Amino acid sequence: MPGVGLGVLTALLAAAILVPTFLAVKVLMDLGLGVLLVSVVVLGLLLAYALRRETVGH
Amino acid sequence: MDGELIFVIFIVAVALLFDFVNGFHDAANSVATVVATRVLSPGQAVIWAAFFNFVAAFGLGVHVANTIGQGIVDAAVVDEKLILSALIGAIVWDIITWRWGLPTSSSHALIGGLIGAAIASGGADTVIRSGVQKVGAFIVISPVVGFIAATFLALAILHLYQRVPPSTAQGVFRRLQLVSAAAYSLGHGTNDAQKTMGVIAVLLFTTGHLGGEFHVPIWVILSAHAAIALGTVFGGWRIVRTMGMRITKLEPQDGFAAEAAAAAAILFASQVGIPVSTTHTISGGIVGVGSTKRFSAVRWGVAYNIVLAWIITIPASAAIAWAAFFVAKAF
Repeated sequence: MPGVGLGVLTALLAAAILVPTFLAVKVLMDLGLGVLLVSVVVLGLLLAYALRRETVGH
Repeated sequence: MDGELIFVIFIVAVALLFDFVNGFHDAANSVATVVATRVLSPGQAVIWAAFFNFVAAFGLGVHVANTIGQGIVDAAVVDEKLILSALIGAIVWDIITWRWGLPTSSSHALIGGLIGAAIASGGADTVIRSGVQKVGAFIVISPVVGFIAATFLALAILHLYQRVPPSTAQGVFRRLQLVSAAAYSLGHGTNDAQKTMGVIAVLLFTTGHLGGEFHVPIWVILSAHAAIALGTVFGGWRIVRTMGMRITKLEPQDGFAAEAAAAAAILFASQVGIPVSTTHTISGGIVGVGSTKRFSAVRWGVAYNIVLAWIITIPASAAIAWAAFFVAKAF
């Protein structure tokens, strides 16, 4: 059953990404709503820019 | 039974109708990705989502209900007519946008309704600015966090599955998507049903039917979850189509990443007591996974129309509620 092991590994991977992400959101929120808002928007825009460069090429 | 109590019962029924409409209008988003990826048939997916909408009644707290009940408008001005007007504003706006096939936020329609009715009742000072600012900030934060988390997760999955045969990967994600859809429906159930709970609880509190301390009675919790689950069962197919298929084409691994990220974001918001739009959050997740494949794979025109609808939801529902309050006051 290689699919079961792969499924468990994927679930662990999801937890390893999502748990730290939301811990970071909580830390930023504790610093202030403005800090969270600006940080999230800047990271979102940077990520969108990087994805656009990678997948469209300009 | 006196006339005042009958009026309160009538408004509780309208609030539960709003919750039902919320399920009809919003909750179908819970199943959009599993339907789009053909992991479940539409009928199976709706039952799956409705079940987890209801199960969310147990053990996930009432932080969002407390925020809606005490954190948006001054409870001192809340009365039956204000709550009824707020609900009318939200329901009318939901029906209008449902007719247009736009997945706007029932949550923000309700908050807009509360704001509009409170301004009509006691002026702008009755609106609690810090509460509205928090909700306003999360209009932006929730979809962007959904986008970021789903993008990271989708990229990690792409990396992990580089050498895995596509048929094996499909099998794994078809099962995992059942889990992520369930988690998303739990998040949706708890965050959205709590908005109705908050409205009912503040109505009962201000009309003296809740004792001296604000709390959410268990019958309110159970009936709100039952109403949203029934709404999920009965509708929303137009919006399923928009969310699951028109924004971008989805594969099972994409659906898993979008739903898992959105579920985490909504459950987080529920625990910190912030009413967020589940529609916004899953939209951000879907855009994120679509962008990892090809930025142009996202149909930005559809996404743009949805964002436009988000921006006008609070002012539009506030305006309807404001007008409804003056009509209600005349009787």
